[in-house]
Amino acid sequence: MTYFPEEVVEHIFDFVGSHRDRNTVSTVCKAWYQVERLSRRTVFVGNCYAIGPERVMARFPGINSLSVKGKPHFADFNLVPYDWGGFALPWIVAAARLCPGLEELRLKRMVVTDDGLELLARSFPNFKSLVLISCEGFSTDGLAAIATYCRGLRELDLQENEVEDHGCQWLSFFPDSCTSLVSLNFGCLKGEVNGGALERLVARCPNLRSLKLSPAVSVESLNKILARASHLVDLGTGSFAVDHRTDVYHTLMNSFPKFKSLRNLSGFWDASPCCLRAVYPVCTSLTVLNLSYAPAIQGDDLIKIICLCFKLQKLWVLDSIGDKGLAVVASTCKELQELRVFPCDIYGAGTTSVTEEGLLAVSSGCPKLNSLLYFCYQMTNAALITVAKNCPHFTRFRLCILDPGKPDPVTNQPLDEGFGAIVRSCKNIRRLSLSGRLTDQVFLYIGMYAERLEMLSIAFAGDSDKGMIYVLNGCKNLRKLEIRDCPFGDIALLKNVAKYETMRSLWMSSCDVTLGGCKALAAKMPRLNVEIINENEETYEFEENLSDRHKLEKIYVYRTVAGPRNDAPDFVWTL
Amino acid sequence: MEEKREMEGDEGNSAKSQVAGIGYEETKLKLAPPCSSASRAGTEHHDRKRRRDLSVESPEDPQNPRQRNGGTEGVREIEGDEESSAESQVSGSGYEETELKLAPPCSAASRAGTEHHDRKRRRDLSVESLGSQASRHGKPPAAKAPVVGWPPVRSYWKNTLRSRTFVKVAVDGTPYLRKVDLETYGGYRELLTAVQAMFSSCFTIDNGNRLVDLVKGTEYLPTYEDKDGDWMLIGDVPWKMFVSSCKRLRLMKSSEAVNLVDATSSSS
Repeated sequence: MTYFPEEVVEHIFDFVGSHRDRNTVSTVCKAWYQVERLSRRTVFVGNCYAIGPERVMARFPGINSLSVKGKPHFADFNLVPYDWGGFALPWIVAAARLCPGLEELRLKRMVVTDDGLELLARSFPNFKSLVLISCEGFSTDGLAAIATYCRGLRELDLQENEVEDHGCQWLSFFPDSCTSLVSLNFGCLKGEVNGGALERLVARCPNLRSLKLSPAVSVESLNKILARASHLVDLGTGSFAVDHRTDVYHTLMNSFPKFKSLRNLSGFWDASPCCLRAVYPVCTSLTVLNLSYAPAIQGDDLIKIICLCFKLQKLWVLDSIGDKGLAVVASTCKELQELRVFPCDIYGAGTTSVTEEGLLAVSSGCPKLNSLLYFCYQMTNAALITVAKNCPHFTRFRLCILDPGKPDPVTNQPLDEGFGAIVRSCKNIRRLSLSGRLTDQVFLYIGMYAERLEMLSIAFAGDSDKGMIYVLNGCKNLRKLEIRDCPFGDIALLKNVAKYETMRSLWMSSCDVTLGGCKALAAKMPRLNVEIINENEETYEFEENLSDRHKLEKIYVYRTVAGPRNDAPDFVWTL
Repeated sequence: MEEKREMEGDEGNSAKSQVAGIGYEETKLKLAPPCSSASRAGTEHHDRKRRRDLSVESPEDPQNPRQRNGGTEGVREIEGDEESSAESQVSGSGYEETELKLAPPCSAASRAGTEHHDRKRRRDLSVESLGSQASRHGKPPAAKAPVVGWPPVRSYWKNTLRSRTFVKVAVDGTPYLRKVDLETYGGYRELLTAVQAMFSSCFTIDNGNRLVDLVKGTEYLPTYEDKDGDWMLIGDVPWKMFVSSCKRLRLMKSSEAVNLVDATSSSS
């Protein structure tokens, strides 16, 4: 292939899509490296501290799409201190200077500021798509800047961000000439919304296909919007509760039948059972339904709607659906691929909402099921073994038994055999979260069978260092390992240090690793950042005096070519 | 225990404690195990919480290997009192918990030995990291004790859902639960009227905020579980405070309400 002119090689590379493949292709020889880097259009940076932004953009000057991820996953559960890091500004600044052709930016778990958003808005004339997931640090002022300066914006997708409310006028900043929106999602905003501005914006964007509203958008406003947006494919309602004796309610009831293309429904903030009836006419064509923000919808009403959704591929619900409701899912939703069941009452004391019965039913009724997130109060080995047999296609399997360390209630045994069956049967499993009572045995199984596993989350499990060692020695595709409250210490940490350079990151909190162990790791592996997060004010003033035997509360280890980061706060030490 | 309390009469302390605004009993030094019944008598406020904790707290969980190994730090710091040790192994608590100390009830000294009893302190995140030094990958906490970051739901989602004031309503003797949105009611009277209607029994509300089943004559006390996990009588705290702290409602048969806490009687 080195005899072909570069244009031909480049053309061939056009067919090489995935990041992984392109990365591999670039390592073949210098010529291929050059062709690849100049023709690369999309870059994904899984850890913003693994490499500096300038280096990325110097290598790939032609990119038009950039994705960057910041904080470790456990930040979602308040385990990472607020000002740990993950700043987006350096990436925006570098891109503004080196990649002015940027069209798409996707950031996850990063700190984004209004200044950053304004710089972004002003720097890229072709900017089309901004996706922010679980980010924080910005306000509606930043959104106003995006609205003002991004001519030709097609997508503004804000998912589960913490956004400071500085008023509702940001929507008015979309100029009258803005008619290009295809996707607008502001479901995570908490403040008031200018209904009129929203309605006018929707009315002038004929290509709008995805619209997700925040809880502040009233049903009355929704009615007006729906009247103008009959080509929607994806709708997130705003507030969805209104007195059934009003005109607004009657209008709502008649708003949905005309939607021929609607496939995804979500939102339903505080939906009432009465109002939920409005969507029955579109249920038969739905592929995605998210009712996880509707705690007032009880089992029976959930069943009434699910009975109609026989094309459903993705369902997110609260555990008020009950095993009974899941049985209905099993008998109706034969196309189901992804199921998420969230706990309604996270502080509740084991009110029987969903158990292993519900999961069993779905596993036997839904042959295409490949992705699961299931919160429940109990699980048995027998059920997991049967689920494994029924569904060998799982790629994502996340089970959360709400009572940490709870064994199989029937046999009182740990759940090693159940999870073992899952990894043995599901050869393509890429993501796994464990819970319940687990010994080192489950990790032996995972190390032996989970060859494609990329991400593993462990909590309150294992008996000894052996558990972690089995995983590190076994799972050859492991990229992210996150562990909390397990008896894994320095022996496990140091057993296979080379492994960490093949992974994106390791998180350990409330385990048994010591300062000495981490120092040893850092000394052996200079291309890892071994970060210690120490929120204990009593000890971090005396860091020099801490003994090597001092147990560390939180550590975050990741491979990097950028060296220790220069934006770490006081309580983060990079060894 | 009663005798011990009477033997110690220290006027100095009494004057000081009145200045500080807390009861005498709470500051009195006692020779007693940390947070034992002796110290308990003097601190009704802390007391309530602990009583609840002790009743919820299960003694050694045979399923949990960490407990089997005597996970509490107390065992590591043996100070040479074999009798105490033996006793504590029998009773199932760590050495630290039974060790006698001269200290005000529930002071820092006693705190060290009762990590897993002291839910209230653990709730504070910064203290959490201090505390977890002692109880490392310690036993998974008792069912109600809040653990940082558990269950693993996004805090964003948790806040969104929790800000809704739906609570479950249970009635002793009936198998089903209902849910009510507390914010839709203006006050206790409206709430009780709605609950009365919901269970469509022949309830009537008397002046004492009690519900009486006219058919059977059984009296029900409306009670609620607050954020701390304590069961309280409805009506004692201002409505708004109730709405923000109520986790669920229960119409308890009066005859069973012996251990109920009455908010107005705590010394605060």
